[in-house]
Amino acid sequence: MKDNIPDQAASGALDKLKEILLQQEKMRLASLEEELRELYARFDDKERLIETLDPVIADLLYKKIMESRTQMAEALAPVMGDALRTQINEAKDDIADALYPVIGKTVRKSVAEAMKNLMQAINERIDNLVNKSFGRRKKIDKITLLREVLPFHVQQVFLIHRETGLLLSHASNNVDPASAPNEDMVSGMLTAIREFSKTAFAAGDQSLHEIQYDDLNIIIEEGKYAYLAFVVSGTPGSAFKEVIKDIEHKIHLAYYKDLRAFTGDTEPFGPIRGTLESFINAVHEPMFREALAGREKRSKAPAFILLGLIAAIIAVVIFFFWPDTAAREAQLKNVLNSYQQREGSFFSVEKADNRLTLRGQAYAADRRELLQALEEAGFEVNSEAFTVLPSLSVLRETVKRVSRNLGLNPPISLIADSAQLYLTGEVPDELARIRAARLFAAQSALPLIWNGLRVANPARERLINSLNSQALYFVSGSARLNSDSEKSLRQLLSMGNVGDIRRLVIRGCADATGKPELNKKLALRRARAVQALFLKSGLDSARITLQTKIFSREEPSGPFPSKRRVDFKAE
Amino acid sequence: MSPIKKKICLLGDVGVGKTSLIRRYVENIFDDSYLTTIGVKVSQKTISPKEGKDVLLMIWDVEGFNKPGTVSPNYFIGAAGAMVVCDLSRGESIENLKDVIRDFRRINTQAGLVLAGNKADLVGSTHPGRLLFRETARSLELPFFETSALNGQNVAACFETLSRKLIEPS
Repeated sequence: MKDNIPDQAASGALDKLKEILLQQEKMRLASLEEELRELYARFDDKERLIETLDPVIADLLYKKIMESRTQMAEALAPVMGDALRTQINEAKDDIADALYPVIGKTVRKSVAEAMKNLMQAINERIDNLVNKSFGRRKKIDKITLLREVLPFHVQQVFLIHRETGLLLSHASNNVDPASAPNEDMVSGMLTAIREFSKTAFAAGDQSLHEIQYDDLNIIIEEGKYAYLAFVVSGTPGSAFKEVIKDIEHKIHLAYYKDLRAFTGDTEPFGPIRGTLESFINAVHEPMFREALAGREKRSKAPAFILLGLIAAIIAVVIFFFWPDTAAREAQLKNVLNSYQQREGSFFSVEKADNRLTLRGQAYAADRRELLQALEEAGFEVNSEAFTVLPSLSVLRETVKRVSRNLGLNPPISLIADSAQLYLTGEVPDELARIRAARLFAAQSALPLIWNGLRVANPARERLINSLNSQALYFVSGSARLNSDSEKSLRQLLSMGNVGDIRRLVIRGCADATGKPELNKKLALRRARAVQALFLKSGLDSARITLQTKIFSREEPSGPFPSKRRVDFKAE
Repeated sequence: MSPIKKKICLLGDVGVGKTSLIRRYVENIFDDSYLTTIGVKVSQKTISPKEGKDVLLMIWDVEGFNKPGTVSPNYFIGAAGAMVVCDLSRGESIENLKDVIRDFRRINTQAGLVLAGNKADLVGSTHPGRLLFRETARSLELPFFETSALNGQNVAACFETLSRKLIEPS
């Protein structure tokens, strides 16, 4: 035991010595341990790690990019691409908002640049081709030239019967017809789509004029009985519309009767195919002519100067020797007025210098006279849209035929009133109203008629007839409806909707018994008593007119047994 | 020689089998999506009668509705005839025939009509639907056929009868 005591003392001293000697190292070690823990914590906490690396990452990337640009691009591209795709998918709206200010400008710039290049290319190619042709002393092949330079071309043309959607004629520049969809079905579907758009967008008489699909435009030119659909690749200019309108007009003029009487036989329209085919080839000619005209203008400038001088001299002569312009205007106005007032005539006049364009209709004799008068007055007249009106008897026969076809009984009729034609009469519903007018327009081929057909309302008819054939009776000296009269009136009102009454005259009547002034007041009070019931039933007061009538002793009471009454005149 | 072209409509309640009848019969057909998009789809069939010109039927398959009067009448305009279809196993579709015909006749007073009682393969010879269909057809005084788009029964006959009516109006 004793031996152990010094050992214990020595051990304690040694520890004390160690503590003294190693204190600094211990402290350093503890500090290092603390720092190590801190570093681990920093690595484990992403935010803190980013905070730590942030100041150096940008420098590092910059350094790496500077050292090896390609390598960095290759390394980052897939990641960047994925990141962009993800971001676009997840936040389309945000991306769109962010890019919007830039995209608009970019697109405008790009389009402007493309258009500029396109126009430049067209001009250069026109110049090259025309110069080559002049050089060879050969007639310019306009079609080839246009095919070369124009930025669009017609791929197919359909002539489609408007009502049935059946294909009347078709031309295509498709080299492989088997690859194209069946043209009969296309024309049917096209018509269906047009009808759909009319119904879906309540377009009424308006219809679809253009359908765009990718690079293809389907441009529709509508005629009275048929419409043309042009499948065009690229974007046609404004002149194209005029050209196709002209073609439609010519087809209608040439095939008017066949189109009108079409029942499914397309034989008569056979020759149109050739026209449409040549049209596909020649459609650009007018535009070409415009381009060429510009060139000829430049090359023939001296000739134009000479012509200009001659025109100026003629203008001076006209100015001094021609009748006064105002008087001429007045003369024109008088001529037009006198014809516009004629029965069946309805037309408008557009004046541009000396040229008049008439649109509308008139009977053949009036039309001929008017055109002659205008031409004699020195005007150049365009009367293509000024159509001949068949005689009134012919038109009335047409109306009868329409009535028969639609089973309208009583038949509708036609009124020529102050230079306008009205269809009048009653039809069972709105559909019949539209259909009757359409059928009449188709059969008469008139460009303009007024549809005055009314939709019949049997309940209204009953109410009006009952009002016009009944009276309400009062006891002597009284303006109070007795219970029987009130009951009769209520029965009357229950026959239809009072709102359907367009105009109602309530006539309060009295006999000559007593003083005339009092009788007049009594008659008015009777009328008012009945008026109150109509107002209570919802009839608009503006539609009611009150009248009074005092029957003299000798005067018969008319269709009703008593003079002490209220009777009606309803419309 | 170019054929005589005629537009016909296929009418009837939804689900009576109009589109299936067309699929059985026609040569060219557009994608069904047109039917759901614009309510009509056009198909085509040429019929060669023993005499005279071929007839090219442009068949407008008009989307069916359970309530007559809801189909756009614009689609009926210019139709020379119609095949009005019902489902023999669904009495309601047979009862609606008259309303469907009325709507069509308002636009085309002179058009030829035939009736097709479809899904004949589903009903027996004494099924009340079959009897109701025959009774309705007789009361309307229209030619009628009991058809099956599944096995082709009477499908061609029904279309051919209609096309004859169009070129030889009574």
